[in-house]
Amino acid sequence: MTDMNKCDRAAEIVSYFYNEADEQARRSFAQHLNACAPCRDELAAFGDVRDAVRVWHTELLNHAPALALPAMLPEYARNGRAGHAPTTVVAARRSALAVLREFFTLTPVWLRAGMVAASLVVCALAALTVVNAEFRWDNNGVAFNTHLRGQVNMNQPTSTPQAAQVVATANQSPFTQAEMDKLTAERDAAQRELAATRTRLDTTERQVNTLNASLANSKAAYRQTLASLRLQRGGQAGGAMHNRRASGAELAGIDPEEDDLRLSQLLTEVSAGRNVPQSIPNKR
Amino acid sequence: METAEKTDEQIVARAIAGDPEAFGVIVRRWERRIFALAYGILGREEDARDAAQETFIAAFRNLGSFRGEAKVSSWLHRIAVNQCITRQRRAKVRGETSLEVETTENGVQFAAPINTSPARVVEGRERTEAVRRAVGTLPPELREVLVLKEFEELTFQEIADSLDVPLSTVKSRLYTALKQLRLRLEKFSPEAAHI
Repeated sequence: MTDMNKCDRAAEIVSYFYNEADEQARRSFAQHLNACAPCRDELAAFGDVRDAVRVWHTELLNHAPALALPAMLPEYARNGRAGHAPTTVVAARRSALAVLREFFTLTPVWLRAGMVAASLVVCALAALTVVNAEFRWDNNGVAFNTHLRGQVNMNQPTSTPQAAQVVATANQSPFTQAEMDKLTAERDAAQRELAATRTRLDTTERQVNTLNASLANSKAAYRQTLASLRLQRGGQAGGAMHNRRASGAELAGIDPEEDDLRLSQLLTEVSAGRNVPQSIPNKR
Repeated sequence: METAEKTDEQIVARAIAGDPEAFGVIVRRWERRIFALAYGILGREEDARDAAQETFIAAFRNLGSFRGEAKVSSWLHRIAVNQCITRQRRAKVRGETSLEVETTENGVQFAAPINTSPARVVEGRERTEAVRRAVGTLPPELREVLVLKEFEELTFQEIADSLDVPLSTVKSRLYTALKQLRLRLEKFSPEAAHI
């Protein structure tokens, strides 16, 4: 038999079937039953279903196993605590793994995540305890020593390339912390001395440059004076000229006797009508 | 023990007064009904036995809080229903099924009366097995209302209170349970095809 009842009277038919409808509803549904064959069929089918279920229930009641509780309860009462004999009977049926699995299944996600995080922290702490780890945090930065190889690993908070080299060296060398501190102090002192030396070198270089510039100016002034004297020498004669030239030559460091000889030759050539060179050849 | 003629309430009063044997009488008096109720809801003999044990243990622990406002039987059945619902929710979380996974071999075997013919014994056993399987394939929420109505004969309102659902939900679930059970009995039991 298939389900052909298209009547939308579930609540009414159930109330009528279990005799829980009030009198008015009962009369109303009884009238409906007279006119509705599907509802009549369904009601009859429900009756058969109920009979079958009640037979099954009777069988269950007649042959249900007796519980072992009554013999245990007096002892349980004397012990006065849960988890004694009766609970053991119940709990022994499930393995610890099954209980654990159920616990994690019923636990909210946030609590599971928290437990996992806590487990990781505990494992990390246990591992650090096993390796006898030591943390230190001071002006030199954070230090972590596992005592596994007796060396210190340092992490400089404001690391520079030099500091990184020191860290690298420290990671490769079996230095103690005291030795590392001493080396670091020596390195800092050497860096300060190097900086001071560089400053002095720069100052000296600036002084040398100033002297060189002054020397160049002096040389230029001398050459200009010398050139002026040479030009004047061509337009003058006599002892006055000799005197002036001699004084200029003395300034220029020129031998006056040699210049007198050359000057005499020049005058001779002028007197002879020969071309006079534009400049006096300098034999020096 | 002379407690055999006493009412449940009188026996519980003795248990509360400190008689260690008194509660054992209550257990023996109600253990089969509680087991049947648990079996109907849970569908596994092992689960039903555990739930029944836990029901009586819970009742024993809470004897001091029993005020006598309700009948002892109602009190025990309420505890049993709560135990079964809790177990069913756990099983649902674990993704377990109930009656449909318990085979005939390890299910409860019902002994027939001695004067019954072998043919009727076989027929009755097949029919009982068909009902057990049909009820077992119902969804838990439908099975609960059906068992509470048919086994415990609770009213719609009492079922609604026990399961903490509206009255209309109880009616609709009961209607659906009867309808599905009818179809399942047709499927599982050829001789019930006339239903």
